[in-house]
Amino acid sequence: MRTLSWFHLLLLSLVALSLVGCAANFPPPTQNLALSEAAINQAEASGAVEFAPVEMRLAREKLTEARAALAREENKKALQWAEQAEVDAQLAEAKARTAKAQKTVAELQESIQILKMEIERKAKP
Amino acid sequence: MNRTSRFVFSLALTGLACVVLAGCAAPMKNADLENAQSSFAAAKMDPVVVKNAPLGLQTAETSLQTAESLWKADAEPADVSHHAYLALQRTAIARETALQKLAEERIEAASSDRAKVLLEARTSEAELAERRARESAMEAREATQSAELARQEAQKQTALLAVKTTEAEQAAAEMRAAEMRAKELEAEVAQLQAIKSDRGLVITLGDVLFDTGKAELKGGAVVTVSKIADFMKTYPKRKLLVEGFTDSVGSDAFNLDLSERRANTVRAALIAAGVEAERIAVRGYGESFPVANNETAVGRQLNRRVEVIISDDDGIIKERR
Repeated sequence: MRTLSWFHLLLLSLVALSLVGCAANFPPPTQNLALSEAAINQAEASGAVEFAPVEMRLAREKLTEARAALAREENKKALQWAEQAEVDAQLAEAKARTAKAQKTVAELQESIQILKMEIERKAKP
Repeated sequence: MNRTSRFVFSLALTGLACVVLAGCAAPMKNADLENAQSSFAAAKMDPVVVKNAPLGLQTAETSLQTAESLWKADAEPADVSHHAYLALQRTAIARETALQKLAEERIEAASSDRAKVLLEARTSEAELAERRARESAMEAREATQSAELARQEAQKQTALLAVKTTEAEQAAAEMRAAEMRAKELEAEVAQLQAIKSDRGLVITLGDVLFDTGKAELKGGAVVTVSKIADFMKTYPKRKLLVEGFTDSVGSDAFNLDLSERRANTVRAALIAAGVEAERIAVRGYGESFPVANNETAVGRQLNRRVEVIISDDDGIIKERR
């Protein structure tokens, strides 16, 4: 094949390389799915269902998608769904914790107000 | 293969390579990446987030850098978007973490505030209780004082009433005494057979007590004299005037002298009976002031007399005219 010059070889190898980059071979992301599930459970335990319902719903749906992709052996997709489900669950948990803390602050301040009012009332002869 | 076909083949290859490379060399904008970038930049500018969630920011930044390098390497837009999403959510987590820390600090502050307020409440309650106790003690003292005052006032009133009662009793007693004295006086006066006149009480010692022309008192007069003396002892403010009278028998001079002597005899008898001399005055009127007709024996006997006049308590006896 004298017709194939170095230039043609270079072009072919470039095409091949770029194709390899787009279709890497992924292992099944079973560990990531487990992590997402754990994150969701932890978020639920923190009361996220009440304080961050949107994030919780997203996390659960994405976990479902991840399982479906894993079943279709679309490993990369499964990994991405799982990762997103995990951060959604983590955000839900963070929101729940913040909301609870803020609620506590409000309650404390209210109790302080009530106390102060009571003191003023009592102080009045 | 001729030259033309070789040329076409190489052209096709070049085109394919160019098509493949075009996706990498000129990457299009990725909205998800830009969104994540602006969100992260905002968080990075927020001092609260920087201070309270440095780890969270670092995690978000790592994801963002991954997304950016993928984008620069012209990777699948879906992959870029995926990592951009992770960066976006991790930025949000960092924000929430910061807010949570802030809230926890506030909880701590509020707890200590609450403790302070509670302490204040206890303190003020204690002070209030103390003040109330003081006030009620004061009130009690005041009540005691006013009760004491009322009691004193009542005592005064009672004392005053007692004084008034005593005074009234005394007045009543005095009145009773005066009445008694008046009654006694009446009785004594009755005993003396005295006659009330405007000059005083008049007791007539009749002619039977003197012999004719004599001045000595007869026995019967002694009783009368001692009665008068008793009376005078009982009423020390009173004075006596003893007046002597005769009938018209005999000369005027003799009668005047006789009347004086008889009056003096009675005075001496009164003094002897214990009446002070200075309380007894004497007058002789002779045959003046007859009380009956000298023409008859009975009339003459009535005119021969000594009249003893007892004064009031003022001790004044009006003279005869």
